[in-house]
Amino acid sequence: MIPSRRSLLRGAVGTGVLSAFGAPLIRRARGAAGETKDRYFIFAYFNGGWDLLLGLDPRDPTIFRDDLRKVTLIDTGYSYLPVGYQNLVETSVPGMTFGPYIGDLARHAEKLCVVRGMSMDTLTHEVGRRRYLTGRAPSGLQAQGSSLSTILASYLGKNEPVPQLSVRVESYNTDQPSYANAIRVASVSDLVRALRPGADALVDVEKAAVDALMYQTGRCEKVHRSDFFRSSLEFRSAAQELVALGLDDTFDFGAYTDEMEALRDRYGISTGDLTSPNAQAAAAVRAITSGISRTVCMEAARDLDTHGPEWASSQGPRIEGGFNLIAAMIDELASLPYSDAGDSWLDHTTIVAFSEFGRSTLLNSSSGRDHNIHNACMLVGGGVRGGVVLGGSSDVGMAPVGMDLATGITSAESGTVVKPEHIFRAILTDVGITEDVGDYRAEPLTAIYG
Amino acid sequence: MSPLIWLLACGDNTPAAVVIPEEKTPLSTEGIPGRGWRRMNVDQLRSSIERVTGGFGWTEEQGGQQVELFAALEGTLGKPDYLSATEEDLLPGLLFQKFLEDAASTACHAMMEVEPTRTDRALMVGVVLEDVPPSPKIDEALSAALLRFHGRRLAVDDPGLDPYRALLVEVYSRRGAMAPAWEALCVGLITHPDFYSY
Repeated sequence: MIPSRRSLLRGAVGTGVLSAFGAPLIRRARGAAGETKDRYFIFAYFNGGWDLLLGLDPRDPTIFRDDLRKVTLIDTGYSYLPVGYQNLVETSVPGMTFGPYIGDLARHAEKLCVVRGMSMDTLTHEVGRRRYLTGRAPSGLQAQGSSLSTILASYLGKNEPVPQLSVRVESYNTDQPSYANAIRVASVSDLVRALRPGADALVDVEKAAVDALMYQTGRCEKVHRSDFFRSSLEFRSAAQELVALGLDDTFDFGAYTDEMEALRDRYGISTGDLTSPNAQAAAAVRAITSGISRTVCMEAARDLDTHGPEWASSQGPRIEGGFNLIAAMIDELASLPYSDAGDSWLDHTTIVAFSEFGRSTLLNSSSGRDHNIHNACMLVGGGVRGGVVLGGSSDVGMAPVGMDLATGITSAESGTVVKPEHIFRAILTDVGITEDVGDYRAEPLTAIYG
Repeated sequence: MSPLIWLLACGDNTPAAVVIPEEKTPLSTEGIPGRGWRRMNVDQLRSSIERVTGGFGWTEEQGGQQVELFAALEGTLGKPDYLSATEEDLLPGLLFQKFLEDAASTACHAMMEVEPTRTDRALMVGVVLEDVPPSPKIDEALSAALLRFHGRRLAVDDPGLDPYRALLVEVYSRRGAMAPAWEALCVGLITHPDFYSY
């Protein structure tokens, strides 16, 4: 059974574990949080650049025909796909149509907010990825600024044991308190190992003696002069506090219990591969709903960089797998009551699905698709407007098109071409952080929240 | 300083002859700008732990195979894969501290299985398990340990040894045996920032 957020935190405080410097890890507070909404976030990264024609921004193949390709500069490529995946997917929301690999996500159309016609201003994976993580253009390949998940963890997550969890996704912190740093792991099994006492861990007497040694060391002048030494000892204490909370079983998806078996069925988790997006999706929901984390970054799909003939056989199934996982997360979050008022965890948790950029609208000479600066993203839950498509790409080459930030209606003449920072400002503004804390220098796309 | 040599009687618990290398004349740092501390990378850490413990690393049996855990966890420990990352994360962060402690505990536990009986000792230099604090021999061993693990050359009466001596005294007084005290000292030395920074 998943412990409630309230009971977990109460138990954590009850352990009375303190850092070497006297302040309990889970009580360290950021100064100026102000009044913020009780929101949680899952950032689901589609790694490698997704094909929007197959998912979030499709085109009707009866209109965008092969014989018009030189005019539209768009080749849907649907005719190269397997039978059953050659048509658009209609949804219950009028006008909200998806590509053939939208998968189970189509069931949740009335909850989705799709943003189309975005620009990433780059064709480089690292730059696009870091732009979408930080909302700021990297300097070369070097990320600038903190990840949005770090900022949100900083403002909202000061009471969570692991304010920010990141599985196989980069995280940056240039200007936020250290408690907002991501616990960044390469797999869910690594996360379990991080939360579990070591196999040969010292027993209490020896452990206390080593702690005393560190404390004595921490009092010496040399240590106090060095940020490195001081932060080393603080992180050591934080690691011990985290292990003391006994959270490892929450993520032990290989355990042969009824609870874990049900979870493996829901997400299609193989016990032999806890690096999979499936395991990451389950971990994300567990981390949020167990009161462990405020923000989680995860890899919903990988190996999407399909420049060659593998595009026809691999791109679609891989993004469909990611969309199916998001649908499974929506299902689980919606099924879990958040409070006695009838609201669910989905009402408080926003899932943001993103990739570094889209893929070229024409097939290349290898029957694959290259990179394209255009992009789209999808948000769901946590107060996001459902059943809406904001903006749109052009019908010639799917170029980014400006939109009215308040309505999401496209306007090539007076609209603003949306980039990640417009979405980040909207998320932060909705949470209650109206100041431009990320130095995005962009107005919020308020149409996301209506 | 002349070499310090211990030669003790032979027997089952015979400490090895120990040679503390003579300190070389320090290089002049005049005119050289200072720099901040830097953490060892994962490869350096793995090698260092094996070196100071006399060959013991961080391994675990999985499916009948011994798995080297620094290698298994290198992604989580921030080692670059040269696909998504080209620079190693050298922050002495939370996960680093957790896994460092795990590694130290495992390596030190394995080392203490053989340390009291081997001749080429890494930690219990010149002492046997029957030696209990306070003891000049233990002070000498502590001095040698600080040199081996941290590269710090401290005289036996240097106050810098006090926290390490206190650790041995505390564990011995609570457990009534020196083996757990030496093991805890080993973990304390490896998890200390002086070990993994330079």
